[in-house]
Amino acid sequence: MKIQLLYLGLILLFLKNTLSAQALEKVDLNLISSCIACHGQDGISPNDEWPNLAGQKKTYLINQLKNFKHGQRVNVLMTPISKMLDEHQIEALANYYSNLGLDK
Amino acid sequence: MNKFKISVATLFTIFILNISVEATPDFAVRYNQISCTSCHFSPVGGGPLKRSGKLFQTSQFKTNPIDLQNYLSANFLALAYAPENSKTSKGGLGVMAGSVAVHIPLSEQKNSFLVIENNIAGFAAAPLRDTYLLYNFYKEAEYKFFESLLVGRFRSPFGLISNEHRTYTRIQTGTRWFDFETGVLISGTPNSKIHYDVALVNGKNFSGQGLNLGQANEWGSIINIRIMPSFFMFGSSANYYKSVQDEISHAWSIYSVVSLARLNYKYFPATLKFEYSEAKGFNSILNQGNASDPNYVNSILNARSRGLLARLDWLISEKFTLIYKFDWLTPDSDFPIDIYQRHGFGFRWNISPYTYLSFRSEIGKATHPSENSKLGQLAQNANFLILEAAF
Repeated sequence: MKIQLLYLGLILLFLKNTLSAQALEKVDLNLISSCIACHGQDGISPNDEWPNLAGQKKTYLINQLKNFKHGQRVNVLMTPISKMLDEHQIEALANYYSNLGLDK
Repeated sequence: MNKFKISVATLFTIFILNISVEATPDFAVRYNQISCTSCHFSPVGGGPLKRSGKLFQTSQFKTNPIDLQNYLSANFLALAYAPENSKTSKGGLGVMAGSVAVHIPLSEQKNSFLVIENNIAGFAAAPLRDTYLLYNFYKEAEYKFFESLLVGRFRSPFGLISNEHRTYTRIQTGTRWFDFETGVLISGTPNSKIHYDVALVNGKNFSGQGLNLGQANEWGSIINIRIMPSFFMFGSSANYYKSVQDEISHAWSIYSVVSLARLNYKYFPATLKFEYSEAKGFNSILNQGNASDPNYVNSILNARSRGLLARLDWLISEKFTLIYKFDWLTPDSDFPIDIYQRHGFGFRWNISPYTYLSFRSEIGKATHPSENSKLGQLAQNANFLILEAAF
């Protein structure tokens, strides 16, 4: 009985995550999951010291991510994170965040 | 003021300030942070957080750390423990730690720091905690072969460092969360994928801090290397001590952290952790309220032990994690039939920017005749609840 409850719990857990992920929208959730922790689920930074990303200029975002990635700009958290991204992912992120919130 | 009043005052202060907690290898791998100094002062991880770490911890709750936290940190850890057999292994409520830390930059460039952390409440296993002079050879976020030099008292850079409360691999190697070393630590991060720590330690006894049998008395050395090529990290550690009673004790560990969340956050928002350790000369720790029969422990004091940890953390949300942990220990590798084993189920819930609650229900098993009556802490079923608050 306990094992069955455990299986049921795991299935519900999987469904819950799947459904909530689908609800988030079309953007690649895997891609933005690294940004959400610091820059907020909606691209609005939770604190005064980190920038908002929602509605930011696309070219600016691309340039800054590339600067972090190639060492022209350094930040203890952003430098390693930017090294996870390739050129296409940087473009996609900049595209997503520059359009985020503009239709509201 | 007695310890109870200090504990209450610390807890009250922490809640008033609305303070935060949490730092684990899960985050390090998920966000590609090979160096613990992204968030912590110490290259080993744990202990007081830097501004960047405090900002990260509070970000889920949209809270700014106050300026005082640039120089001051605190940590309060309370435990409610309910073992199956409360006659031999006492249950109840207890304050495990109530520590205060100051971290002061010693230069305008902020590349050298004095860190002092003292445990002023809770049980006295480690009154003096992270206390050191730290010099960073680098500017922030640069990768250097020589990253930092640390002199003082620090956590051992050994094995899978985490905030896991009960782990056989930590017990069998003398590297529990309240075991500290005194000496010199050199750390480096040559590039974004490799980190190492090398330490020379001298474990002389001093007031309030007894040594375990296996810890260094005259001298000891520790080395730790980890690589993080992608969404997974591999590490290996070894230590070698000339210990109390003129014995040589040594241990090694291999460990791994796999961030499934980094690989595919949508379907697998989880982290897997593994560790395998072997140790010789540390078994006296089992006599510190862990095993039920001192005669059994005394017969295996210098035996080679083997330990295994496997743990799954599944993010229901960024604030709530389900946990499954499997734990296994053979105290004497010559008698592999004698084992301790535990399955643990539970959760971790970040209830405020500075506070979390962790619950675990563990199903224990021990096979040695002196232990299988499930009287010892390591052998029996138990439930426990941990409240940690820190800023």
